[in-house]
Amino acid sequence: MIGDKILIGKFYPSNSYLHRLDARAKVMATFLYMIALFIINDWLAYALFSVIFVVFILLAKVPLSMIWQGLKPVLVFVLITVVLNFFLISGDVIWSWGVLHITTQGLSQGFAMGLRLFLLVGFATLLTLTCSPLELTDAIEKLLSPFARIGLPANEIAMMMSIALRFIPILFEETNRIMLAQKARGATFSQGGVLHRARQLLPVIVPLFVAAFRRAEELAEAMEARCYHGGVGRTKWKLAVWKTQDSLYLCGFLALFALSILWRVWG
Amino acid sequence: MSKTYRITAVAMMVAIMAIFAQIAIPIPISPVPLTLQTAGLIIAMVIFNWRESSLAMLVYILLGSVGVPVFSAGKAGLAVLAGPTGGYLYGFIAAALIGSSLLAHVRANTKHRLFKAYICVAFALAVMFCCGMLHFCLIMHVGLKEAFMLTILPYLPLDILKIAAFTPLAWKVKQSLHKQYPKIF
Repeated sequence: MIGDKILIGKFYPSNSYLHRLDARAKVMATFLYMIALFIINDWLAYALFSVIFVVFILLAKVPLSMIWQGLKPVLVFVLITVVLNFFLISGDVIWSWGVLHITTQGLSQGFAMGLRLFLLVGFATLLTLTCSPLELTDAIEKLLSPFARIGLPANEIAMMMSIALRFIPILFEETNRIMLAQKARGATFSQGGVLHRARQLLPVIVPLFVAAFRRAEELAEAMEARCYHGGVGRTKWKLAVWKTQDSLYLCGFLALFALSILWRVWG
Repeated sequence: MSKTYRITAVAMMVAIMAIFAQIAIPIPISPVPLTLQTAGLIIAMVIFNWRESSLAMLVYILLGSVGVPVFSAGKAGLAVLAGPTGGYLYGFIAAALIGSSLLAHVRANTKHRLFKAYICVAFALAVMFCCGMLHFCLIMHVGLKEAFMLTILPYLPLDILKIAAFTPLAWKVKQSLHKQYPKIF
């Protein structure tokens, strides 16, 4: 059921080196790794990035089956990437059949792009396996706070995320209840054309929205009665502490990023 | 709308988006089931102003990327956003921003208002598809033509049906919310 697994998300609790790092460092490092993947264009560099990925799987001490679960949905896309690049890139032809040609350039490009997609998704999976949703929410709030000056309210966003998280199971139950009630009145949700089905949904969606915004109103009043006045200056129950190893970790990825740029320019 | 109420209302919209993404209705003509995600996006565009609707979509995407299973079929994580279909997700933000700003000019009780709303929604969704397609090109390293053939063309009839079905629905939601909460909507 949606309510049971929603708080844990994709997180795998453990006490590995990666789990102990600050979520902010991990988010920034993941972005650096992902951008660097688009900068490199050399097989040796791809090999280096693959080795880093494998090392971090070992450091994270998460079961391989969980990484595999994250990667499974993109495998078909990896295959499409490889095949499309095989046939679409011109160069020295090594095999041809009718209008289809495979070139040596296409072959190497196809595998490289497939590997890139694989590493991209794999490394991103590692982030959500080693940070809990709450840690990541705090990290996003901290990382977005400089953007408050251009009108992006970081603390409001974090508050909205927590409220949404809390209300998903409640509204889910409410949706089920409304759907059952309409079924009892003779609604059919799995018959007829798309337009008919959409019309059948109207008596579900309207009460759901009215109920949701009534809850929003009540919650806002309750918060204001307890003197909530926006997020600025609010203190936290759990404080994330930035340690030396977080700085080292981030520096490592900055170095990797710089190396990728140099590799691309002079490689 | 007070600041606190804005926060809670947008949060509820996010929760509804999360639920809509899980409700799949099988369709006889298509292998991909119809999720209500698009309906959620269109309703958000119609009932909120540009600031709130785009904020709702941003929060929805952030909630999914921190690992809460709110994307379609219970998917989650930054991996979905970085993956080949991630462009559609951040396309939601652009679509909400543009759709709401355009729809703000469509006043109630004017002539052809539903027709105008269709145009606004179709334009906003086209922006979302462009984001999705460009992201697909970048991630999969294919040309625009191939990306169009793979990601847009097969789903075009269904998407037109979705716009046709969900825009009047969103309008009805707005009207009933207006009746319940005349000060806000």
